[in-house]
Amino acid sequence: MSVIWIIVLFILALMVLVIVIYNRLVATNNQVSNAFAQIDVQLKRRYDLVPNLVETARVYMAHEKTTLEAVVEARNKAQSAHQALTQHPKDNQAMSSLMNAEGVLSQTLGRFFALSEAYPDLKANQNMLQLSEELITTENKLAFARQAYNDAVMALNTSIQSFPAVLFARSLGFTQANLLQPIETALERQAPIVKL
Amino acid sequence: MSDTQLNDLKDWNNPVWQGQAREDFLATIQRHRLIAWHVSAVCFLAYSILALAMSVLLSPLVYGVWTLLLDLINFLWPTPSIWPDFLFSASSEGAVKLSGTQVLAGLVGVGLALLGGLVLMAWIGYNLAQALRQGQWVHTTLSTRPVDETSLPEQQFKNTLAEMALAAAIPVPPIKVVAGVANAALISHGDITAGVLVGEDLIKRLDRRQLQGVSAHLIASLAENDLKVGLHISTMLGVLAWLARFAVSLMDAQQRPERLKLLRAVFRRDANSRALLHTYLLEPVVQAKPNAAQSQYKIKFTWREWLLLPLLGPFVIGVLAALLINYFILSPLVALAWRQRKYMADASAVKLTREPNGLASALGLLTAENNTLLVSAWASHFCLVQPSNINPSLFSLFPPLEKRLQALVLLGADASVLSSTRIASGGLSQFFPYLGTVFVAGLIVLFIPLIVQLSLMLSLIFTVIPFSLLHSLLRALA
Repeated sequence: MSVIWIIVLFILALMVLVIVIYNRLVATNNQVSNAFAQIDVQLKRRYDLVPNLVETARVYMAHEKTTLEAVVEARNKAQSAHQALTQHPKDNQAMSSLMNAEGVLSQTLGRFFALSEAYPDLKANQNMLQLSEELITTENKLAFARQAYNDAVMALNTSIQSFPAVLFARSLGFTQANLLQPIETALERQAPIVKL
Repeated sequence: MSDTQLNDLKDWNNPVWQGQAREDFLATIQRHRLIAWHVSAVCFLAYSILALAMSVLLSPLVYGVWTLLLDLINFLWPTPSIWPDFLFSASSEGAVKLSGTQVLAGLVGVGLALLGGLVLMAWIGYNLAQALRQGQWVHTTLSTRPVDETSLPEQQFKNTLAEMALAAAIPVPPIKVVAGVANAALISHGDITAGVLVGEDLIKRLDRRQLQGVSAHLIASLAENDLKVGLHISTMLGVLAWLARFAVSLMDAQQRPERLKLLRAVFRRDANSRALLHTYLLEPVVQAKPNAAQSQYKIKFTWREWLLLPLLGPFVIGVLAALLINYFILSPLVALAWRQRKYMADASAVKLTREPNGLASALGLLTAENNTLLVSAWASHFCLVQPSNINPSLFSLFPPLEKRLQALVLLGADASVLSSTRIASGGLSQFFPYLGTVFVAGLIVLFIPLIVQLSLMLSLIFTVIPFSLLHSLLRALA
């Protein structure tokens, strides 16, 4: 009789353990989904800010037409890639295209801000200051959203790989997520040319 | 860095930062979290021991009340006598014979007696915690305003706070700005609604990168549940303060309004009660002779104080022990826990930003001038840097600024943030406060049997004898 009680208690303990592990995996999985959604929010915010920035700068940077057009073009491409991914969220090609387009947009914006340093009137413009701050914070939020996503993915993967969750995770429907890798754009892949 | 600065660094007991010697911020966070957890566990254990001691000390009183209750019911319905006077009565065989009902009633009485004290302590603690949660228990008396949307630096602070909240995956706390203070702090409306208080001077002095470091520290502190931990520790210290004041007011009729205020503060949760509890947290030990010249004050003893005599043993003795434990053991441990949590918040800030130089350079710029933000001294650990209205003590709630900067340098910050002043290596003198604590703890342990004997004697005189007489009278009348 006592052996039966031991078996029953063991099964109960096992069930409790599985429930605890399941709940923890659900919580970390939801954190990953939420973190990914935050990246989406910041991407959309950036697409909305860029046209305002270009319009404000156009008055002062009349001779930098090429750069301004490059910014607008990069923004439009990134927005299209984002819409394509929204329609096909599990398409790896769409994700890869979006990451590339985002990389190019970041590059062109960086060039734009570097050039704007040469226009003191533009730098002093209140609108420009506000928009610059908005864009800077959006870029930072994007970076931190990616960081938070990677942190959440790391926590999920660690939970799945740890014992005893590793025994149950796959059968409960949990799989490891992929970290967001930094995408090198064509410009970054070029080695810097140093002229001495 | 100049050769002089480099040599200064090498002279210290701390090595110049090498790439290989850099400390991982996750390991740092874990290390400090473990120490803080151990200390919090010790504090909780101390409180549990106090609760148990109070329940044991109160047990003769509760057992006596239970006995008298049974004696009163005995007039209507036969009930067993559970008072231990049966131990003195001899049966024909020369041995004491107890009925099953007597044994059961006795066991229930003992259980209730022990539970009585525990329930009382739990009830006081629960009501105190609720009162703190419902009020602004970490707040300021300075006038505040929302963020000025037209001011770029304030916008930058607001944006950096939002960035850090995103990195920590927590909601963005609301911001209130105070004029002319170079400090920032967490504030609370209960343990759910947290906010950030920031001084204008801080925003003006720091650039965006440094503001991000400050925001990271505040958000890290919030994400690591500093406010919740603070609430638990405040509740524990508040209960000790409440007991101390109640004990002091027990045997003096002129302290009766104070006694009633204390009871109302715990059992009725309104705005006045909350204000009173906050005062107790600020001043745990109050003078027993208010507004009167020392030599002219005379304690007044009325019939009410006679009725309260059974409480004398448990409360006075229990509180005496509790105060000794609080001031010489708990307070140093709590201070240690808060210092560790400050290091942990700094390391968590580095984890959020992945860049320690922002916070390190910000801390280096903030001085002790004009940085008082919060009302309560005991809540100063929620500030970014130590407020100037807090006197440094043996058991400070804040680690020294140089040590915080050192810790950040170990996490990868630029060593130039460290001042050229040599940091004292400490030697044996840094252990004196803790040696003192161990010495006093030893004294307390030696005196505990004496304290227990004193309490038993007081209980015998004011509880056991009166209740025995009443019990005998009621049984005789029945």
